[in-house]
Amino acid sequence: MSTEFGANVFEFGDSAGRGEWEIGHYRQHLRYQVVLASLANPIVIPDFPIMRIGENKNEVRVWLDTHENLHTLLRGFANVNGINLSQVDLSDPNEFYQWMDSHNLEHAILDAIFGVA
Amino acid sequence: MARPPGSVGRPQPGAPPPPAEQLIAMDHWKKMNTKLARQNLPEDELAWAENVQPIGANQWQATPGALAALTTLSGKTVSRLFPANIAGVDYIISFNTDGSAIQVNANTGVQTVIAAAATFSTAPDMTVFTSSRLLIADATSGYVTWDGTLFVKFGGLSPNINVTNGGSGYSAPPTVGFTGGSGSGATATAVMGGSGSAQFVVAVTLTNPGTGYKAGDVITVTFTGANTTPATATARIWPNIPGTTIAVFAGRVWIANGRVLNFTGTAGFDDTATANAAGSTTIADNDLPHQITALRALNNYLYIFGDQSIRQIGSITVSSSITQFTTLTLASDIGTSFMMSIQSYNRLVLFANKNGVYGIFGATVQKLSDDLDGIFKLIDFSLAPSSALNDFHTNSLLNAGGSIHCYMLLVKYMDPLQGTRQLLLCYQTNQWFLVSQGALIAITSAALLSTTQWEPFGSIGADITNLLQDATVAVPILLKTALTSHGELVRAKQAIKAGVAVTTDTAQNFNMLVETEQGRNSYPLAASSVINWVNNSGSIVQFQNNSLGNVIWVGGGFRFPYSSVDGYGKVLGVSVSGTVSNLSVNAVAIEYKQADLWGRVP
Repeated sequence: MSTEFGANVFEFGDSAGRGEWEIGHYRQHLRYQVVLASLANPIVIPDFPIMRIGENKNEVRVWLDTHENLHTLLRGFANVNGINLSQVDLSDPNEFYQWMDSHNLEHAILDAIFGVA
Repeated sequence: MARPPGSVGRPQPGAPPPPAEQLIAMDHWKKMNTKLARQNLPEDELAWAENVQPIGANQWQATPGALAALTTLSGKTVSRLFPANIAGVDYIISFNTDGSAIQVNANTGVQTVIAAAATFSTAPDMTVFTSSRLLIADATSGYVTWDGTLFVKFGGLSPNINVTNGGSGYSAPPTVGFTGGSGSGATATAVMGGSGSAQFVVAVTLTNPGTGYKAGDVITVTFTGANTTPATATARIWPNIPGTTIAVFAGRVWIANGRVLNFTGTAGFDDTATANAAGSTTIADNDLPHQITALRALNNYLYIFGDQSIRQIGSITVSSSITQFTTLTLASDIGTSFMMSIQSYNRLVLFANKNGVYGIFGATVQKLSDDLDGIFKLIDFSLAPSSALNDFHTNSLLNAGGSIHCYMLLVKYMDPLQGTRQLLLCYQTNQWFLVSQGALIAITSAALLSTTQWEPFGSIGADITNLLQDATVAVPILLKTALTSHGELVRAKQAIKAGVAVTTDTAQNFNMLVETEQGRNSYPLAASSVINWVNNSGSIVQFQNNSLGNVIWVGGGFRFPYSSVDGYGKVLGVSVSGTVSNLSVNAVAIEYKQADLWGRVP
């Protein structure tokens, strides 16, 4: 199985790159859910609305919290630990890049565990 | 620099009287904006920019002209154009209003008829499979293919003949035959490997697909010729897949017909066997109110356009001979019925509908053409918009570097001043500009091997012409500034002088129109200067021609010609026009005298 999360990082302020990242990231989460649902003892995770981060602060905050909730669920099923991915200001370039690295690392671990990378 | 326009000017109590003469310098234009009325534009935006492209700060450069027609399709009128590369040769494929299709070599103009009149509708779709063949979906012809020499449709054999055993001991190519099935007339030749009496069959080339074959026919391939071990091969009937749009994605062929999305299997472009994971899916969702209008494989995804929705398929997998994929809905209220407007541009997918041009930013669909709202409300959509990419040469030397990558949309514009005419709406890095290059009815673009750049081709009827490629061709430019009140809307202004700063390779003439809300006055300007030759003594050398007339040398460079002008009104602006080449407009300046408050006329 190949990953759909090919463009797993993008430059701060790159709107085209961000769009590519958003859709690939969402698709990768859907694939985790397919893997969990196809287990001998299926685990069905509902669809979390994380396809688009949004533009204004409220939208971004909702996305970060929703996304963190999904990662919290996945960490439990994958038996891994991770940082709280909602604690970030994505409008700050430094925090943005640190978050990208942390998030990317967690996805790499999840990819390996769920066999989608 | 332009004075920032502010609120309506009103003398403040106690403020010193304004100087008698004022200057408006308009430069560093950020963009063209047709959404706002000209008198509402800020001074750093243009009301119109036609055949001038922003290539840098203060540089709106005359665009290149078209080359001479590459070829003329005798007796034909083009309906759609597509690019194709077959076996390393670039072609423009012309589908014509009479239902015929012609392949045109993009470098030489040599024509090859693909199919005769009445074969296709006027709205076929086409893609290319592994640079080896065209795959065409059309309401009239169905699913058909062309490899540069052979046209195959349902009723014939597929050119995808699979040699299962090359045999051995052939000393000459065996005669290939086909038996079984309901049809006849199919012929093929064997392609041999090895040498002497140790030859074997490596491939079979179909030379005539025959006619009359039906779905389900079992075909046997025969090889007649002395051998040690006979060769064997399998052949099948070209599939009957109805459809109106087509794409190649993840090695499969995807064809849409109405709400149904068909896809071929793992064994090639003609494989409809469910055992090979071929299949179909029907989009039943309410946000596809009519039908799939376009399939396009772009930027790693398959996009499924409806007239009011957009879906996307990502990577596909096969499990137990079933093709699996996830379809995501990107928009349930935005789509397009203009298939030919869709292009990949700088990692975005751009398309147009009757409201404007949109970009798909991954998961988000955004309108990009707000600045063209003034144009879109006057587009005649009886000409379905088509699009192209172009790497604009910003240097007069053909094939020089430094090009700017642009998306172009051909529209029929109901110009209130010049009458209905065709415009190319050009997009580059958040800026729009306009190009007019004749009464085009269709455009496309090809990434040519010869230049390794995107080049646009278009047609005004029967021709195939390479557009925007010759910077030495003079083109009619039109650049309109804002009509500015310069921050004082109440005060009338008397224009005194005006000028246009330009940079030009050669001496050129153009026209400056000084405009107010009351009227306009035209002034010819010359962007040239006299070149004086000086000898060792410092004296000017006067050249004379054969008739002993004095020869005057003139040249280009940066010039700022100006003129005494007349114009009275509360808002002032300039239009620059002319037929020029290699000239960039840099700035416009107007000197005016403060006139009476409120003006002499309302």
